[in-house]
This record gives sequence, C-alpha cells and structure tokens, in this order.
Amino acid sequence: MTELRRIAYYFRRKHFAMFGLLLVLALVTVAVLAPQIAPNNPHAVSRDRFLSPGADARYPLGTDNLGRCVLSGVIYGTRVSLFVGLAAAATSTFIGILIGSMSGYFGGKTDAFLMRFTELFMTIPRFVLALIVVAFFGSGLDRLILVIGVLSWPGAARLVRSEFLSHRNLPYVDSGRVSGMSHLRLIFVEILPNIIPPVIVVATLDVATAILLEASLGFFGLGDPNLRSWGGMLSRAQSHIRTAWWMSVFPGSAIAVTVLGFNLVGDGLNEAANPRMQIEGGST
Amino acid sequence: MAETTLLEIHDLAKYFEVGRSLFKKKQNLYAVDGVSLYVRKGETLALVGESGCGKSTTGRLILNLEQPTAGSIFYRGKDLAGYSAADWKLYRQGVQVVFQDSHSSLNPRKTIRHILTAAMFSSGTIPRNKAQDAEERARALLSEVGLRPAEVFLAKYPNELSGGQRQRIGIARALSTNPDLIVADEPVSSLDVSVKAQVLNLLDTLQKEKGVAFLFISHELSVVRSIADRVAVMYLGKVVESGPVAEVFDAKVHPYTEALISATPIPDPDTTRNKKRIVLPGGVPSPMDPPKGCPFHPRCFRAESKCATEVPPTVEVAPGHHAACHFAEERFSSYESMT
Amino acid sequence: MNPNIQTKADSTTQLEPILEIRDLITEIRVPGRSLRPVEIERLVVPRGQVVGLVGESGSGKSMTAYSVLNLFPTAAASIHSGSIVLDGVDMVKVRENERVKIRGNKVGMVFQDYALSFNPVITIGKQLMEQLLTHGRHENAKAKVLSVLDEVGLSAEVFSRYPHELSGGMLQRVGIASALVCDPPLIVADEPTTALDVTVQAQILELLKSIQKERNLSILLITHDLGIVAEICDLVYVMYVGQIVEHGTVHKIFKSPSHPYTQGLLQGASSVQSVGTHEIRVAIQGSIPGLTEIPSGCRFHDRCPHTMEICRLQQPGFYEVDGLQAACWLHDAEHSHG
Repeated sequence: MTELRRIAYYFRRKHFAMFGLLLVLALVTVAVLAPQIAPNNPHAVSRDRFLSPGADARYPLGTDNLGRCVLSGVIYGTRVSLFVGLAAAATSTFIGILIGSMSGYFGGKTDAFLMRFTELFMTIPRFVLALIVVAFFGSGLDRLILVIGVLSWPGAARLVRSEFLSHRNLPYVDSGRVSGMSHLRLIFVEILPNIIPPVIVVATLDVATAILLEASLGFFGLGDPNLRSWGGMLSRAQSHIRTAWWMSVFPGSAIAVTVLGFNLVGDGLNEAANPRMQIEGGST
Repeated sequence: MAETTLLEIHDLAKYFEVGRSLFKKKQNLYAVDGVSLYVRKGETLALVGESGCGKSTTGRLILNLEQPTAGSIFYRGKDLAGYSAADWKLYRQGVQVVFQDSHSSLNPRKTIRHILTAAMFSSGTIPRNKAQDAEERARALLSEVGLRPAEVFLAKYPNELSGGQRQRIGIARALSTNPDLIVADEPVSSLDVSVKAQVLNLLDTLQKEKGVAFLFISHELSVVRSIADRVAVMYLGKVVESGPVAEVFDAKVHPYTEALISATPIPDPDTTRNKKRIVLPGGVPSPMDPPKGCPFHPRCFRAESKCATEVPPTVEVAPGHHAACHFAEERFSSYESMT
Repeated sequence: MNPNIQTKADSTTQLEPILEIRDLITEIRVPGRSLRPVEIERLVVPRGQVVGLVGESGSGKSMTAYSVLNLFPTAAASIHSGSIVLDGVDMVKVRENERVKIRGNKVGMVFQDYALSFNPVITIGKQLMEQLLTHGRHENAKAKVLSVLDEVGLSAEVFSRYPHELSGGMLQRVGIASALVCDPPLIVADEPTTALDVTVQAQILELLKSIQKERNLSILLITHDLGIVAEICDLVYVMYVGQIVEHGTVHKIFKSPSHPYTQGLLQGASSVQSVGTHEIRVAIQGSIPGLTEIPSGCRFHDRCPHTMEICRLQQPGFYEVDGLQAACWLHDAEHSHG
C-alpha cells in the first residue's frame, strides 16, 4: 500500500492536520477512559446547584441547575458525540458507496435514475427532517445514528460515483471484463480499493457534520434522554445563560474542538492525497 | 470458411451517438463502418492506421467490450450472436487482450499474484477452490514471460515494476487462460526502443511455442513489418487494403498505404533523405462526417472525379490481397511489371 | 554519405555557437533527497544547424530542454550549477527579468503537448500578438503574426480562430508559429511530432526543414525517434540517464556508432524495420534505471554487452573514435582488448 504510505508522509508534514489528529486522539482517549477520568458520576444530582468553576474542588468546572458535575458531563458527552459521529459517518459512507458505485459503474439509465434520487435527498432540509423523524420515532442512540446516516450519504455517493466513472473504462477493468469477471467482483474487489483514499477524506468530514447534527438535535431536546450529551447540556443551559455561563461554554467548546479536530484531519488527508506535485524518481 | 480460420468478422459496424442534447440533433460517429476480416490459427494479423481510424474499436468489438451496430463475428465458426453461456465461457478463455498502457492496464491496488490468478478464476480456466494450482500456473507464466525468480514478482505491486516488466505481466495475464487469440492493442507503443524489441521478441517466441494467434493493433508500421504475417490498413472506419505483409508493403496498392509507408521516417540518414516522400495534405476528416465516395479521396494524390461520388469496391488483386480503390488492379499490375 | 552536410558542419563549427551548455547539473528536490536528471559536460548547437538530442524516456532529455530556458514544469526542479550560454548570454547567471526577455527573442520553444500550450478561451491571433507585445514589439504586430502564420502554412483566417477549432496538425503549426514570432535564432523543439499521426508528422517535419533552411535557424530537437533524427538532424547527441554518451555528425553516428548504447539503440530500431520475417533482434537487455538507482561507474555498464572491470568502477571520459566522441572505456587504449 505505497499510496497510503505516501499520504501518511505528506500528512505528517502538515502541522494543522497533525494538530487535528492530536485533538481527535485526545478525544478518543477521553471517551474510552471516561469512567477513570471523570471526577463524578455525570448523572448524580446534588444540592450544590449552580456552583461556578473553581468554587468547589470536587466540581472543577462547576455544577448545573440540578447540581450535576459539568466536567463529568462534558467527559461522558465525548462518548456520545464520537460514537454517534463515527457510526453515522460509517452508515452514510456505506450507503454512499453502494449507490455511488452502482451509479458510476453502470452509467446510462441506472446512473441517471440514481443521481436524480441523490439530488432529491440533497434538496431535503436535513435538519428539519431529522427533527420530524426523531419526534415521531423517539430518540434512542440507534435511531439518531440511523437518521443522521441516512440523511448524509449524498456527498459520499457523488464522490464515489465520479471516481467510478473515471475507473470503469480503464484497461485493467476492461481486461477483467474480457476474462469474464462479474460486475460485483469488478466493483467491489477490483475498483473499490482504488478509491478508498478520497472516500476516507469525505468520511472524516462527515464525522464532523454528524457530531454537529447530533448536538443540534440534542439542543432541541431530541437527544437520547438517558445519556448526557453536549447538545443536551447546551439545551439545559439555555435558560441560565446569564447566570451560569459555564453550563454552556464548556460543552459548547467541546463541540467546537471536536468538529475542528475532525475537519483539520479531513482537510489534511485531502491535501496529502492530492499533493500538487508528485515526483517519482526516474521520470524526466 | 476455411478449416484454419479462427476468427472471422463480416461487415462489422459500430456507430456512436454523439452531441445529443436539447438543442442539437443527434449525430453518428462512424467509428467502424463495414469491416470484414479473418484471423487464421497461429498467425499475426496486424491492423494499422492513424488515430481515429477505428482499429481499436474493431478490437473492442471482437473482445465484446462494445456491441456492434451491425455485422457479425464468428469465433471457431460460430456466430457470437447465438452464443450460449457455455460458449461464452470458452470465448472468455479463448480470446484475450493486451493493452497499450501498462500503467492503467494492471490494477494498482493488487499484487501480481492476484492479477494473474483472478483472470484464471474469472474465466473458469481454474476453479476457485484450486488456489494452489492457480499459483503454480502463475509462477510458470512469469518464468515464461522472462520475469524470474517468479516468487519475487508474485508479491509485487504494479508500480514497483518498470514499463517493460508491467507489459510482460499483461502478456502473462492474457496467456493465463490458455487463449488461441490475443487482441494486442498497441502493446509496445508506450515502450522505449530498447524495451520494445524485447517485448516484441517475447510475443514472437510465445507465438511459436503456443501457436496463439495475434490481432496486433498498431500505428507503428515499423513494428508491424517485423512481426505480422498479414496486415490490414484502416482509414476512417474501413479496411482499405489487406494481404500478406511483405506484398502489401511492397505493392502499396492503395494510395493511402503508399502515403503511410512513405511518411514513416527510416532510421538511416541516407535512405530516408533520398526516398520519394508523399506528403498528404490536411488531416484525417472527422468520422462524424466522412467524405462521400471513397473516404480517402480529398487527400488522395491519385483521385479522379469518380472517387468523389462512387464508393470503390473491394477487389482481390492477388490471392489473399484485397484493396478498396478504383485503380487497384491498374496499380497492382504496374507493381507486378516492375518486379 | 552526403558530402554537402559534412562541409557545412565543418565550416560552422568555426563560428561562435548559438548555444553552449557546460557542466550543467539540474536537480529535482524530492522528499528526503535531491535527484539529478541532467549532468551534461558539454553540448553545443552551432549556428544554422539542427542538433538532435536522442534518448529513451527517463534519459533527462526533456529536462535538458527546460534547463535551456531555465523554465521548469515543477517548482521542485532547478539548475544546480553550470553554464548555458545562449547567443553570448549565460542563462544561469542572468536575472529572471532578463531571462523573460531572452525567452522568445533568442529562443523559441515547441512543445509536444500543443493542446496544452494555448489558452482555450483566447483566439490564436491574440495569443501570438501577446508574445510580440510582451517583448516590446508594438509596431505592425498583427502584420507580423499574419506573416508567421503564412510561413507555417496556415491561412489568415486562423488568426481569429480558437484553439479547439483547429486539428492537432494545425495546432502544432501554430505552436511553431508561436516559437518563431519573435524571430529567435534558436528553437528548442521537445518531441514536436510525437503526439501526431504519421501523415501529419511528415507534414510538420517538411515544414521544419523548409523553415530551417529559409531562416538559417538553429534547432535543438529533442526526440526518442531515431527515424526523425536521421531525417532532419545534422549533429546528434545521445543521452543516457542524464549524461551524454556519444555525439557526432548524423551520418557517422548512424553508419558507425562507437558507444555500445548507441549501437544497441540503432540495432533495435533497424531490426524492427526488417520486413515480415519475424526476426527481431534484441540488442539491449533490461531497461533504463531510475534516478534513484543510478549504477556506479559507467551508467550503462549493467546493460552493456562489453562490460569490463573498469566500467563498474569509474566513469569514462570522452574518446575520439573516427570523428565521433564516445564516453566508453572500450576506446581507452589501456583498457580495450584491441
């Protein structure tokens, strides 16, 4: 996999991208080690309501209107955000690959139909539809992931389609056809591995979008009520924004940092995969 | 059809629809326009012509990568139009391809092992559960095309190989199904002079050993001269002259053949500077709007008024030597009187 | 052998050459190291002569062309050291704004990818005029462009056409016109006919020949095609992995090449010429090494049929053999077997 090695080489030279990667890795660590790091049970209510940061050593970032630890909430919220973000992006990428590859590989009428279908999805206001779906079917974590994933695939599909269009008539695919290779084999075994780098870029950026969408749904009170999520914390902070700034600032910053991290990694990967100059030894 | 004929095509045509939009009338691009050819067992038929003459499309039609607009293709005496699934399986094994661009003709993400064995499995040459046999065969093929030690090459990716080595892999892949016909589309055009001779030599040796026939598509007359038994010259989707290579290159019955040969520079200053050169005016007309009558008449130095109106018939000037020119017989007899 | 060309070559070498390259090293910086695609000791283009620079892909011949103009397709390439004296001016030493004036005025370039060398949304005439104007030639610019178009066999109507309206052959004629429009004494042509069909290539070669004669132009022709070299060159330089291995007059090179690489190239080329006998002689084994794997000593030694001990150890200098200059140990009195 020399191409991936090359991408890694260029990626390492991008300071912003490396910073983004560091952020993402830090967040993953926090999510995994949440029970060890968090000073308190994030759900435990106490009588110490509206403690400001630093007022009590037990609550470094203060407490909310129910006396719950803000820091622990933010730490456990990382789990929800990352899980929803990664799972939703995986779902949307999967659907995108399925539809995009069929569209690009077969072309013609299949392509025309699938692309109109994709465009239809792109015109739907994602957030409003997500609101409606969650309002109707409830807001379990699984449903959130499914809704966000199903509403986010058109970008990946269009990318995969254009990559397949450029590959489908390359000689290596034609010689597979000459040997009687089946369409499925050509699509998934032969062509697909060639387009993985750009797909990873889009998937990474999709993670950031999904996290934002999840937080927005949470803000409107449509997150999973059994979990402490950043969006949910922001939602509760709304009515206390003048008196208890810490209730909104910390989960808000967590969202910003996470989205920034994934965006930096995605952009970095994108640039590393398409360096403007590629010099290989031996060419004139 | 003779006993020895392996592949025969009759009046094959392929028109592509182009420029179809809301405001434009659809137009046809006459890529291949009534081509008839045959390939005998174990021989090399070269298909030559300039870009856009339809030689590659003819190859793709034979490989079933494009569907013909009209005409028919017979392989081992049976029309492809009436093929059963079992026939197709035999065709997939019997007819193979080598492409020009060694960069994109091998999947960059796959090892040479995968590339070679996948062709054997997909074509049904070796069943999928006999992976060991496939690997053995891949090893033997690599040795045959001069890539030794085979084990080393099996584990490599295409971008770890040189252009000449990649083209050898392409040849090994084509051979992996035990074909009796290989369509070679400009197989050495992108190779350097020194490597070109090596690959041509390999193709020639393999033909002698295995009796495989080649449809050798090329724009380089110098390459065709040395490797072909018979040659067919194409211009604007039609075969203008065909026959044994030495005779076609000597007699040059069709004026286009003559112009093509005289235009090719020879790597010898004395010969090339003193030879008679025909410089044709203009470029090849658009295959969307081919000239009426003989397609070559607007550039032809021999053209008369009837060439602009009457399509010249294809005549047999000598056994196995055909030309589509109003003056074919006259030109052939003047060649005969010279020799 | 043609005696006319012989005397022509002899008389013009007395003149100051239009282009002289000395000790040129061009480098490309890649992650972690720098590669040297060009290491030329000496290359001379005499006035009024056509000099062929022949080599396979990877030989560095195109990089040499870019070096002459000191204009590279990638920012990673640059001239490391050496001198390129073009009509008395060292292209390596002068400042970039001087160079801009020299390009076009003293040297014109013809590219292989003619389709890429024009702006698709500007008419041919305007693009050619633009070149004259950037070199401060405002007077009669249009008349000049029309006359150059006529010289390359194009009608005045082409002036107001867009690039996509022209065929490949016509575009390459425009490419030649664009190289000629400022009347430079030297043209560098990098594979000018490689992308063209044979019949169109013949037209372009005829055109180059006649323009060369009429203008007494000097041409540095870069090509891999020995047929084209035989056709129009007076002198030939053979390049292998960044270095010149042999040079001399075209007749001598083709008649009695003295470097094993040149011999192999010519045998390979002429064997593919022999008619329909299935006789293909493979003159050189292996393929040209990449810049990251340059062999020690003589760069050709691992493909050479005459390799000796010294070839692996030390790079040969040039030896005069029957009027040719060949960089090969076989011609060294001490090492050759006679």
